[in-house]
Amino acid sequence: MADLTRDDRRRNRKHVLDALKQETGSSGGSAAAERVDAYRADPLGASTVEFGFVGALTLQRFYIDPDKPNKSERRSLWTNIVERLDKPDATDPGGWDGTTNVSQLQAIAEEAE
Amino acid sequence: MSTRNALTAAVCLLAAQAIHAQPASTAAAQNPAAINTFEVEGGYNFLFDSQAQDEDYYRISYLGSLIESKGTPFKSAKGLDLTAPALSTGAGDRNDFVFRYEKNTTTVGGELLEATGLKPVPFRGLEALHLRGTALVGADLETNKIQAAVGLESPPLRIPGFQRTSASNWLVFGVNGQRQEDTDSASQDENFGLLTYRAFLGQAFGWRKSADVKETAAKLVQALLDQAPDLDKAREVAAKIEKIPANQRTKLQQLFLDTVGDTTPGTDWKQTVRDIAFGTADAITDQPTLSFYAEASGWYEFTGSTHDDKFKNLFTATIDYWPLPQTDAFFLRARYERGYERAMPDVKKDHLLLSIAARF
Repeated sequence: MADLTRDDRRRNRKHVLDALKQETGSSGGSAAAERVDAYRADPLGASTVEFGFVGALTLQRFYIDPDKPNKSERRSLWTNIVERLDKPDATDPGGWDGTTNVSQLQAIAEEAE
Repeated sequence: MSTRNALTAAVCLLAAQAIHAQPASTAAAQNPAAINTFEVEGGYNFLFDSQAQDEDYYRISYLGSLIESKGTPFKSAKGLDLTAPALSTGAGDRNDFVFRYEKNTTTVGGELLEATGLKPVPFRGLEALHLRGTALVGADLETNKIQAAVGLESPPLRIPGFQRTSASNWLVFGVNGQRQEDTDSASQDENFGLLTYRAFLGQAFGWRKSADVKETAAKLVQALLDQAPDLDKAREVAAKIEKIPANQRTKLQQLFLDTVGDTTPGTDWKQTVRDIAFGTADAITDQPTLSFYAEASGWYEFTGSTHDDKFKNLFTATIDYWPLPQTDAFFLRARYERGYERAMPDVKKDHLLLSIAARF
């Protein structure tokens, strides 16, 4: 984290949301979709409130089924995220599932090597 | 205690819970909410096969300790097991190739062992397709057959007609070479060429607030400012939190790092804390009333098949319902499953699972 700027982190959050959108077709459900899409459109101009809001969304809001993402879906999502972060060979350390939120998954991906 | 008595107890507890709003101490909880002391969970499995018998189970716990139980929760109901560690299909796997082991989850009461792996495979000239390599090993321990397959899968595609909806939906196609080994007889060994698909469609409805957003935000603000009343102190705390691997941090620890990271020079630390706490509280208090999701997966044996039916699939449809407006401590689930697991291509499922869970 220490090497990342505020703008880097905001852009990386957009990458995670973009990956979730591509994987599930969802922007976090009807209650969140408008705000998520607005953040994706302008991550640097979004307010701190919106940065916090999209970061706190759990993966379950995108995958609906509490048993998802399963192994294949997690691998697919991880691949999608690390390719967007321009580190396609980064290894998934595991330890995340449907209860993980966007902020946590972003941090895991940022830290992965 | 009989199943009927257990379910009656659950209904009585539900009625008792209905008169209480969610307490402030659980306001920041995430779905499923509530800090539990008492749990009741039960389910019934209707098997639409005249040869098979219906199954049921129940479990009652207090402060995490089991008081009484009967049977084993169904695979499909494991999401209701609120005190259990993460699902076997959930967190913690570090490998590209992981085994899943389940018992008493099929219509024959057998055992199922299945594993899947997934890796991106770049092919020259086909990079734009973003194909992924797949692997599967499945074993039916009842009939002593082992299935092994390798192949390619597409990235998730949108289901036609649902591209512009807010529903979660995806469709994945694949092609596989599969080998079936019978551990008892070489005459049962077979090689197949398979076309596969997986489709999912789901949506949550009736979004509401399970707790007051301002109260929840105030708790988060307090928790963050207790750790660091000013930015200098916050940076000290952040440096310590950063030493914890990201996949082991709590949500609050990660929120703290987010707050420090989003504080620019010259901005008010406390205001940033209030802003990010409000956004977070707004997200975590969102709760659906009803969610519906359906999944279908299947395979077509285009070569090497010795089966009469070359196409087989498994369809599941689930409804989760949280009936009480101010608590998520009680919910109902109905799930219908029909078809074949790929690891057990000769055993047809056709059943309805009804489950109920309450925690207080």
